[in-house]
Amino acid sequence: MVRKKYALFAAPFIIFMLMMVVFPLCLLFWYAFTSDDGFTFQHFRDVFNDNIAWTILGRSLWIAILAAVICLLIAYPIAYGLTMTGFKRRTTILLLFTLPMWTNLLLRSIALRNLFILVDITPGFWALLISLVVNFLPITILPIYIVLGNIDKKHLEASQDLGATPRKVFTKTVLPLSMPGIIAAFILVFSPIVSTYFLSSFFGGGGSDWRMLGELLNIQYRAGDIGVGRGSVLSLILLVLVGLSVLILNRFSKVGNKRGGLW
Amino acid sequence: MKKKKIIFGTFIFLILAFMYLPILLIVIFSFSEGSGISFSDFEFGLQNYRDLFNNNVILEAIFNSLLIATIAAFTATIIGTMACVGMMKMRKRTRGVMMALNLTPMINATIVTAFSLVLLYATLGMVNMGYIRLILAHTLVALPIVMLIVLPKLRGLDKNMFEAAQDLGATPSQAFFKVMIPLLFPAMLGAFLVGFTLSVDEFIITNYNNADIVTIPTIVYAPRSFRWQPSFRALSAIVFMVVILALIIVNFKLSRNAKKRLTK
Repeated sequence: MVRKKYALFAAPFIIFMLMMVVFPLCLLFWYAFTSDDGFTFQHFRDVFNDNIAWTILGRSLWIAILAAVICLLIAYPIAYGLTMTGFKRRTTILLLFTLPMWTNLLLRSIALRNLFILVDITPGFWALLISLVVNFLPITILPIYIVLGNIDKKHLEASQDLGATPRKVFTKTVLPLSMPGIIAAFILVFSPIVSTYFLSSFFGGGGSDWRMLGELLNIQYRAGDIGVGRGSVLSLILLVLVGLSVLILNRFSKVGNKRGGLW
Repeated sequence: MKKKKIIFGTFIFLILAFMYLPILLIVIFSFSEGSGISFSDFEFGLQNYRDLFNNNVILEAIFNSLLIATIAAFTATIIGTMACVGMMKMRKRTRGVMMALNLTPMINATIVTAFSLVLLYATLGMVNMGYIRLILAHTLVALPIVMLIVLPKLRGLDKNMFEAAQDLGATPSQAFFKVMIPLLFPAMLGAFLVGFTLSVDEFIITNYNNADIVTIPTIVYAPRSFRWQPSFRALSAIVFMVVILALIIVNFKLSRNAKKRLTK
């Protein structure tokens, strides 16, 4: 009885989420598999027979992996420096890293373009890569920071006492212990990068040279009625990519929990 | 050890500097009346700001953004807080389902959410209801983060308070409004402000579902946008300043207040 009374408080939330999340996702499936004549695989055939779609899918994947790896290479030393070298005011520094993330992506991007104009970087691959890294770096830092902060310093002292050189302490103790954070960070940035569409069109030069998956979906949406079916199929592809990465993340974070990991 | 600290410190400083450089540049050049971004034709003046506030489309966009963000963040805070209270007595499994439901829009690619909402509104026949479409969509944007902020605070509260109030004769809704809300107020205010910021920033979903309503991000993105005009720099500078100040206040003031209330 008490339980029911409490559950009533959650009712508006449940109704709202059913209408705004669950039902629209069902609609995606509906439009992906139907046309005016009923059930069909035609939209899937349209998308997968299109060479451009494959090229863009491949490009999105490798650009996302490359950008995510660069983010990790920059984020790791930052997180390591903040947690392991006795920094004071480290939460303030962390806040400084995350602050720009809250300001508008478009405004930030246009500001960055202005900087590029000032130092003469033309739109294209490098501009796109730099913009992706600058934009997604904060999200990469957070999980690594949390994991490194949770590492018991006694482990490090123990391996030092047992004769490990500083390098060995890092490769054999710190790095393996922070693996869950690295994987979490990678996945957290991978899915938004794969689906980005403003950055790739704005820094990629506007043409089709550096077009990515999100932009392809955007084009379908702009195409109106003809695009609904294909757009739904592309949405489902993105949904599956993101879903897969979350599943992988969950697997690893379970491993992480046993060793005092991220979640 | 000290040498190590200096090396890492320098690295962190350089990366931070690079992240803030574009923002700083825009703020500096918002005070320049020169047409382009170059130090050779920097002319100090407030013309950009005057132009900005004489532009009706921009004023309309600012008004719309603030209106939608206020309503959406308020609705999300109420629905979210109620849901958090409701979740307290749920079975572990039901709670898991609720959390999964809550996290779905956060994890999902924004563009997929945007596209699915287009389908939803088309199906429901909500063609010309731009404001309602945007308010609903922005509530969806703010709701998950409200839950993520309020839920941990709620767990930190003494669970017996709510029951004690009811044992003393309060109805559940009285207990909710007279006991829970005041205790949760700092967290709710924080959630509201964060939701508000997210809503003002929201671009992709807005751009797909706005019908003919203009907001700040959509006029920036519009094909004949004024994004390369000098007055645009003034708009950017204002937005950067407001958002960054708001977040600094949320982070320092509210966390301090919350600590005070909890220790009392």
